[in-house]
Amino acid sequence: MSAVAAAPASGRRLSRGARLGLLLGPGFICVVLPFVAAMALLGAYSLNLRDTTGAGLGLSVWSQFLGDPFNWRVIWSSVQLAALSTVITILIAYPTAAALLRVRNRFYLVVAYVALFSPLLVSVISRSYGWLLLLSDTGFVNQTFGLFGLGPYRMVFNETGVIIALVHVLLPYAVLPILNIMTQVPPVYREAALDLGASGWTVFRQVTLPLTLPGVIVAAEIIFALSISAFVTPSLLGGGRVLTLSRMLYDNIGLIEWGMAAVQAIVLLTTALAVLFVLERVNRATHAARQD
Amino acid sequence: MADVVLKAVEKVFGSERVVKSIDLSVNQGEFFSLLGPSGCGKTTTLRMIAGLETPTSGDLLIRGERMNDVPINRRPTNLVFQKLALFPHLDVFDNIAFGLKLKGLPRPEIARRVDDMLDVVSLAGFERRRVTELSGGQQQRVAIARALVNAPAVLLLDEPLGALDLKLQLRLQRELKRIQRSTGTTFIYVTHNQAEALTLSDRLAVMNEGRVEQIGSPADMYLHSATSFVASFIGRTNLIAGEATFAGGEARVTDGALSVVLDDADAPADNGRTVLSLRPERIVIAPKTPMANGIDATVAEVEFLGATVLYRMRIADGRILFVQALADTPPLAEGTAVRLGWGKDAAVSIRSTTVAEDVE
Repeated sequence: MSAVAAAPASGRRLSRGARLGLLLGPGFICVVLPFVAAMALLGAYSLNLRDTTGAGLGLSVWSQFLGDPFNWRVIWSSVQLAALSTVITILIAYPTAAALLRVRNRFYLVVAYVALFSPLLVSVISRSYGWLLLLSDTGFVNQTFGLFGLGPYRMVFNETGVIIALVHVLLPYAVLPILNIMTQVPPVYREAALDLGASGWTVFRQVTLPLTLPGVIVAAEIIFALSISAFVTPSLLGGGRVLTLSRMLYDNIGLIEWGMAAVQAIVLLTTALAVLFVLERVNRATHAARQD
Repeated sequence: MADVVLKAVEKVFGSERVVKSIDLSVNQGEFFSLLGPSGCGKTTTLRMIAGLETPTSGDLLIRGERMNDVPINRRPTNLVFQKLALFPHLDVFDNIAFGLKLKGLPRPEIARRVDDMLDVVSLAGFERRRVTELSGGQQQRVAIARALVNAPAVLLLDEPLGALDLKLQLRLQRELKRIQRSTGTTFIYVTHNQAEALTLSDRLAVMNEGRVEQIGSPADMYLHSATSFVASFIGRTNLIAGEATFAGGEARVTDGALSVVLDDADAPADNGRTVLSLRPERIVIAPKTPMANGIDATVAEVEFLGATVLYRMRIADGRILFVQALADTPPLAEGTAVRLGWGKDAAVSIRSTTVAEDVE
């Protein structure tokens, strides 16, 4: 090392630490600093720093929130809603990715990608109202059902509508990581399994799925985080009847209940982190088994 | 008895005929190689036998049964892939047991057969290792064990040693041969490495541009190459092409400054163009006794190979003759003028295919 240090340096060469700092700087300033600051503020608010109830500094808001079984039901239903959206999105995204992997024609590939990303090109407001129109009791979907003597089914202002709209917009976020890992699994594994006597289904279950599972888990993490914190879609399609943590949080801000809003924000974040943590543990376990 | 028979098998991809009407018959218990340069159709032929490709036309029979429409997972063949394709999420045991589990064998039976197979490939004790922790040579053996444990009628190997270093290649070649002998399984081995094919095979087929040029034993191929392609692909040779004239029980083929005398029985009886293959080691430098053929040359290049020396000798018309001699004396210096000689039986008449490519 000393020999290296003694060698004539260019003089302009930055140290390793300085270069790392430069690379990380913008991200740090934009993401980490605000996050830490916001968390500190949230923590303080949740301890009744901006006292609106006259209870004084302390854990009073926390005990008020956690002591109410209603809030626990909201937490639980938020997790359920996000989990259901995640599962359905993954179930649609996996075959979609598998199909995209097989498209050779460039034109069709472009068409497929445009279709896949189209939900992201439309603003959340118009997208949600679009779904309201489609799914309402007299909307296009129920009218179509009506032609066959079915329905009308209630699909708006309940969880069904919220999930449909969430799956719609979150699908691209799930397809990309799954497609990415599929391209990394060479087709020769499939051929080898077939050669050893496996049926198509067995190949999927014993080879393709285990090898693509890390991508599925990454997709699940993204979708869960996005759907549990989603606010506009559940609000509009839930019509106030689907109560989620994020919705309650928004309402409390409107009511200037800073303490309660802060507690709910922290609970929301903790819930999301807990689920991500579990998924990451599963990911580690499968990675350890793959180890390549 | 023939284990694998191909009758006029063709494979067309789009507008390209990759395999052109191949006829082959591989005997039971035989180590058979498909040898040829890249793009000659050898791998496609192997993949058709495995069931990864369907022949465009022709018949493929394994143990007398037509296999054209039998899917890959119902064929009595197993394939060792060029890239091995060991399942990275499974350990050594589970990789090898993969096929047996699919057959629904009882667990003790599976364990016993995997154990036996690990012994065969000298990997006992490696059951619970991750395949990604193994060296290239060990992975290779797992790949062979994974295929062979299913007791296939035919084991197919697609250049399985291609990615290994030379020393390991040589060691695994001997091991492959041993495994093949001890199990008595029919092996069909694809390679572009002629030395490998000669070392391993009982018989081999040399392929070129989608066709089989010649089928025979390694010695047959070398000593009696049927075509100029085979003669120059298997080992090194001097090709001499010219008109043959016949007189007094002898044939004489003249090609530029070269004139080769051989028994007329060894040359085609018609007076057409004759192509001869004269192996470098059949040419004698400065023969002590007169030989049927002789020519003056100068040493143009010297390649010292250890046991032998390969000379590029320039003859009067400027062409090069390859001459290989035992390195029992110090090699000749470049520029040395020498007399070369060879016997009547040294040159072999071959069928001229398309102009022999320079495979050097």
